[in-house]
Amino acid sequence: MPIIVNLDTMLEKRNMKSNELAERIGITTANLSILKTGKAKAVRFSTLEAICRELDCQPGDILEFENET
Amino acid sequence: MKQPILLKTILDICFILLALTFFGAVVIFILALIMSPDFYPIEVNDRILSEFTPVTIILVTSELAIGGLVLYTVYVLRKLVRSFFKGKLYTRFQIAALHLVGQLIVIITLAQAFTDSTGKMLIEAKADIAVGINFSFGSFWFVLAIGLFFMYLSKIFRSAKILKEENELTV
Repeated sequence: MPIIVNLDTMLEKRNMKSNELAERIGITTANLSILKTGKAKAVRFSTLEAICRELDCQPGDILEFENET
Repeated sequence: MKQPILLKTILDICFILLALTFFGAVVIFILALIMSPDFYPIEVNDRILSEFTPVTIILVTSELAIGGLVLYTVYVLRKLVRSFFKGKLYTRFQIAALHLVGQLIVIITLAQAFTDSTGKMLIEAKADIAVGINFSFGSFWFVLAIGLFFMYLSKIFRSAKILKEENELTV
């Protein structure tokens, strides 16, 4: 998928663990893992909003578009 | 979702009766071939066979082959209905089974029509083309439509499977 999820980088910058973020935004660690590994097909605005709020960042800091060529 | 118990029971009864009839017919045909056609009256195109010729043997064999296909269709349908009992929907097996049942119904309907007309031509030495509508669910066009409907249902299941996967992978 040409959309890359940079959640790991943001978590490292904020010095936060995955399970802590999952707990704060109210999703399971399994779902957060799906998002982190790029297996997710879609992200709800509500989830994105909660991630941005907790990590104090913009959606563009988490999601990146890379051309597949 | 409520489990289709009545449907399963009807298909089970149907399968058992069809299996008994089919294997009985195969045994009777083989015995009649070994002994004589008088052993058991075999009917082809509403006519009782008095002797076995290569044509009648081919016709009876093709009728039996169609019977075997009908039995296999009901068997696949049974397995399909049983798979609904596991609670999982839109699985790969269900998609493949629906497509297979549709294909089998279409093939059986066409083969039946072909054998009927060929049998008429070869046994009665007459050919006719009738265009009309049979006001029953056994009508050629209706059964053909049911076969195509099953194939279309398989495509719907395939789309639903993709949507389900997307839904499951939405965070």
